[in-house]
Amino acid sequence: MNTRWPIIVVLLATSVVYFHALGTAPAYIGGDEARFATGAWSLATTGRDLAGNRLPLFFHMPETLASGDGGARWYQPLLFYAMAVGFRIAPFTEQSARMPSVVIGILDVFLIYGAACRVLGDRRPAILAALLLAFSPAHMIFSRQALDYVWPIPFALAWLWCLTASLQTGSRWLAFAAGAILGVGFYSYIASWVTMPLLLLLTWIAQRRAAANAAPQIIAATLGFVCPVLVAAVWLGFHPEMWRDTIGRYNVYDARHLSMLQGLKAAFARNDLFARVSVYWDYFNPAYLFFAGGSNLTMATRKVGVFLLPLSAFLICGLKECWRRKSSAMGIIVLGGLAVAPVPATLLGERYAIQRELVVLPFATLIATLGAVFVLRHQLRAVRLAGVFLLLTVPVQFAYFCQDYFNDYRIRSAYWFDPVNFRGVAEHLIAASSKSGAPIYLSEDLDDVAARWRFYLVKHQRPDLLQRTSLFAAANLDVRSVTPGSLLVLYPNDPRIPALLGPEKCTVEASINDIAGARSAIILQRAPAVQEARPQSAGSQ
Amino acid sequence: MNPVAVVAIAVAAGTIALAASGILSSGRSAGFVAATLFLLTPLLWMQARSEPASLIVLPFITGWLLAVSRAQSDGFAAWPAVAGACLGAAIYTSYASVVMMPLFLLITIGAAVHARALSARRLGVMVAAFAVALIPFAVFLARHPDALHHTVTTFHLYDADRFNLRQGLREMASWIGLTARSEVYYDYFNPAFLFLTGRVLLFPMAVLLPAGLYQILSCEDTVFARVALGGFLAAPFAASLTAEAPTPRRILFLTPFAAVVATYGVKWLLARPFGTNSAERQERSASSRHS
Repeated sequence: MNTRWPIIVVLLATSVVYFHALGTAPAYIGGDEARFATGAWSLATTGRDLAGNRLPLFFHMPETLASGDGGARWYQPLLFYAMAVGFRIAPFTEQSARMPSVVIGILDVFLIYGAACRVLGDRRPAILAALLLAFSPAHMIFSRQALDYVWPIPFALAWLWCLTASLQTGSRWLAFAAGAILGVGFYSYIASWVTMPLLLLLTWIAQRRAAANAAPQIIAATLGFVCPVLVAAVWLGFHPEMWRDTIGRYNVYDARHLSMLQGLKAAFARNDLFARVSVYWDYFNPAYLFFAGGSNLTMATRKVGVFLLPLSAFLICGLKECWRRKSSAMGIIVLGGLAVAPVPATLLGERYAIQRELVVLPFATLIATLGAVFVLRHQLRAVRLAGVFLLLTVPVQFAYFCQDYFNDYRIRSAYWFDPVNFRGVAEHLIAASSKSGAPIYLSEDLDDVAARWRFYLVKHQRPDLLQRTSLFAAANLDVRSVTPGSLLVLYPNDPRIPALLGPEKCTVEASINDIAGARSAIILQRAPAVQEARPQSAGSQ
Repeated sequence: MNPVAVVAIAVAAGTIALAASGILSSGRSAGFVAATLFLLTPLLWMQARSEPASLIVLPFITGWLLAVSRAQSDGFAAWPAVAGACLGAAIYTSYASVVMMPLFLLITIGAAVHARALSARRLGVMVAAFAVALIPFAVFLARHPDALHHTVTTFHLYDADRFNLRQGLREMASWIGLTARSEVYYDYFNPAFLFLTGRVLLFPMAVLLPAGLYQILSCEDTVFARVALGGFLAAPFAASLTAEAPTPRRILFLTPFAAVVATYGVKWLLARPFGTNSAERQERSASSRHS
């Protein structure tokens, strides 16, 4: 018990910070969060996804209010099932939707402790590794969103633990488990389709490096990986549209006109290759890693990087230490993991897409821990003092980050999560429509309108209103065709609004403000039927 | 081609050959390799056509490198003075040199102190020579205080109309300023920029440079090697102060250091016992069978 209390304290502290104000920071539910939550709710209540498929392997999410509209969005299953379990025991709210990701975040902290104990062979640096991961701004930001970005991390850490243990003990079962964890992790997030096979490749290299006759271990790990992935391969055989839609959605290549081979050839054309080298390089840009973080405000506060600034020094020292051990299996795994993490985002040509390379967090944290150990055990006293000073600045900068995250950042980022403040819109619509029974018209231009509307209908237990709701394109709307008394929602700066206002047309029912006090949406009401009768009958003549 | 450019490149190549001659064990071949790699740098020839005057700084840098290499290897007392004087004189070649030359001086002092290779007196001579060369520049600045304002405005370092020097430096070192500048600094080492789109260096250098960096970091402890490494890493410093996207002409300082580091890369490659990997593997497998 004595030796375990530090990690228990770290886990408790992490839980307090990660669970704090979960429903209100971030201020709004993002579009994808709404999709995951409503899909999981459907699964929890009916055992089917929104399209009516029973216990699906991959989730085909609708783009419109119609449940089975066959959009191009396919999602990985693990978060849906985890959320569905959560919704069986907790009410449908922003907090409960975000809860599974927080649990995963806390689990990561525990798993890195276990993995670091194995890799470093000492509990004290393992505690430091757990703290450094918990203090990573990117880890906290993504652990507080109902999204699957953070889900590959526990698989990478569990794989690391199993692989290390199998290399140390020679156990084939642990090698099989390492492969199987990667295979199941394949379903955690779309980037894992690239990351997990690359980690398997690292597994083979490490196994080959560690033992002269590594064939049984390699076969065990491969079998472990293939078993779960085979299910996806078979499923894809029956649902080829999923591959086409996904490849098309991420612009990998034109899957409708090119075969896979032609597509890959096109994707790796000379100019593209130059661009991708540049993109890959930028994933190690210190400005991104230690100063600004991800590419937009849903991914980063822009006031702190992916990692806290003091980690830059520890990372450099850790890289030197790893390089010194590069011929060992552990050196290969940790350095290889760091190198592999940005590959999926690089293939898509996306710069600074931290959400697609979150697997970098555990590997970089382990390397930084190695660096911190190196500095703290250095023979020069000045170096050791500098190390202690840097370590002390870690919680200071994290406190600054938290202060910003729970206050200013909530307001700064609100627009990026939901430019409409759909929570405010939905609360008004539900109250108004409940009284009048009026139909609801939502502008198609509103960001992720269908998913968010569905989310708030479920939250307020009013799914019946979906039947009374239509999406409309403001440019093509003939206001006379709208049922009198209907409520219409548009952006306040929609250029069509002046044409919709006036006697016998619409009046402004309400103006919705966002968290910063700026107008984010406008709700119009179609003039009542009495005033409408004359022009309508005139029109029909 | 402009004769100034040809002379500058020729003098720089000759000096770099002399400076790097001690890298390889086989006589003067290292000097030949370094000079060849330097002469094969695409950026030099692009600059020779577009901005020949920009190349004038190179003989001063290579002269400083030669003086540094000689200062450690022979006891001639004048070499530190030559090194300092070269750096001091180079100040008058470009705006960027005003930032880079003091930085190179600091790198030299740091490398010498770290290697315990030069006495404090010899380092003092070097700094004194640098300071003497700087006197006309200081006099000019004192007589033309608006020159700094003009330079700051030209290169958009900060808003010189709003901020004084101290406020401007604080603005440059703010969180946003550091973010932008560290990004630009890092982008100057982007392989796509250095070897592909920017055409700064030849593509084979993409192999020789990492090998050279590894060789210097792992095996070399001479002042010259450390200075070459420091100069290579510091080369984009002045360019990154502008916080503007990388431009090949602003990384001209990199070229002599790249040639020297790549020569160390050649040394690393020549020292590889090619083919022993499979032998090692067989040996390992045999030992595991025996055990």
